[in-house]
Amino acid sequence: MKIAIYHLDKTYRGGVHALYGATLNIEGGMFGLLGPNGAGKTTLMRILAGILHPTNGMLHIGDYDGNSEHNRNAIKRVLGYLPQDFGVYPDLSAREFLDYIGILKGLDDRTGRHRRVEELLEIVSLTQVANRKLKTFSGGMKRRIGIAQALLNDPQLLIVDEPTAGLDPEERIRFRNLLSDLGGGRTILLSTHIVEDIAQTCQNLAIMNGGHIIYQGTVADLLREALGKVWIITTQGNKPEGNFTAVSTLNMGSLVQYRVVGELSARAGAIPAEPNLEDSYVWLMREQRLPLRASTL
Amino acid sequence: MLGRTMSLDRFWYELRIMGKWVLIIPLLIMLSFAFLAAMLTLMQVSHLRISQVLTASLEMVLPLAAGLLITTIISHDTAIEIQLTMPNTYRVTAFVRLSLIIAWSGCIALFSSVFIYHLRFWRVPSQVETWKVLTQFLIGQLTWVAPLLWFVGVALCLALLIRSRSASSALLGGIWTVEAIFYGYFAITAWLKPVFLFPTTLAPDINFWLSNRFELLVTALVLILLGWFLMHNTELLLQEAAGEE
Repeated sequence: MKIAIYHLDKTYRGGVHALYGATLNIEGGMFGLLGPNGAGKTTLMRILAGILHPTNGMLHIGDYDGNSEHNRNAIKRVLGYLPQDFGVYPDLSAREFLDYIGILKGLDDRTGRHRRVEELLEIVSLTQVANRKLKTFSGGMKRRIGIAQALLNDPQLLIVDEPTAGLDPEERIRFRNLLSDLGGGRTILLSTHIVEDIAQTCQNLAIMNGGHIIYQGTVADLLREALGKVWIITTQGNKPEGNFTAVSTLNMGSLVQYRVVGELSARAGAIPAEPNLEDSYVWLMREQRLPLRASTL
Repeated sequence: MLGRTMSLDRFWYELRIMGKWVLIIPLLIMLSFAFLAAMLTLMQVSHLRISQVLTASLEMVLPLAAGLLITTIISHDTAIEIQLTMPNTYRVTAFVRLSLIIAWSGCIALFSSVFIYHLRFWRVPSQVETWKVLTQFLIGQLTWVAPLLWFVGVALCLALLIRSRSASSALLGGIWTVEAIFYGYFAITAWLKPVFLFPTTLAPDINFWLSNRFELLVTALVLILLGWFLMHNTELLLQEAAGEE
């Protein structure tokens, strides 16, 4: 399912601008939306999910023009959505919660709905605890119920907003693998501020900052952007100074190894390194900040 | 048949989500007042005073309880963001919940009023005193129907506009207190007459009882419609007062 947005603006009541002329084309498959907290990702996700209405701009999801109320309702029928703050009804069991959401999604045939609920409980490995009340579930288990409810209507478009935030490493890996398995013929939009989640699951991505989409392309292209900009500097302990951003600091006894991103080619003792997605992201954010910094001088 | 099963499932889950207190509180109120009335009878308190207490339970206390339940249900929904992405809109869900609260409170009030009438504790407004028994009883149901729907309408709008359970409940309680304490002003001031909520309990001899009941019903209808339109505003629904979960 293709998604196309053109010059999308969103201004909340009270005058807070969340999106500035966002333009984005998503052909399908798994697509990552990366950006710092407050970049406007959740606002964009909510607009795509039909929860919020854009102030300006055009939005097409599949064959639907997402600017009309009627089409927004049609989109909701082919949509699965897992919000950042996924709230559940704590006194319902996992099975009951999914059954209830199934009713809201219009799965009217009770037998078919129950069968679908059991299938999804199996997919998210929660069959054993399906009768336990949701208030007893851990954060990771709740997220898995979240993804199960999003899949109830076998959606063509799945939107997941910060699904791994707050999960322990094992749960995070499990969740990422689950998302990758769900790819198939559907479009999955993964919004996150965790670079590793995108690196492990997406080939295409967009990066947002301050309400703007500052990059759209493939992960490989983004990695190329940072070629020759990533360096390893090893010191006796004194922090290196210069026009760069330290991505990591590794203490190795008497020596300290810094991984830095920046224009550093002439520096003695700096060894070039292969960029990863995190380096590329940091490089892009630095590039974004530089004009701002220059304009304030 | 399929549709009916579906609706029953839906209603069952909505009740589960709202919690058992939605069912227990109205029942508990009426049982408490029944017990109080029994005690007052044993203590040989005047018939008039007992009938006033029982009428107050229907006209003053039950509607307030329904209003408070509605502010709680509407101000906060733990899964609001999921609800807003459903093809079955949240407006419908909210109104199903509202209807269940109204229906349950209504059933309890109707059932109680039959007993109160049968036991001759029914407080009949002067304006309908000469009417036939059945008509008198049926029109007498406006004693609780009008304030119940009025409180529902006000609670709905307050909960949607303020998005805070405690603040909207406090405001609702404030309205109730003002009505109960300063009822004399509501009985004699022309512009306050349409919002006099408890005339059957506090001033049954007024000559505008019937018009007052219908004015309250119309106001309630307008407020409920306003609530329906406010629910189109998803930005408003996503706002919730911090620390009220």
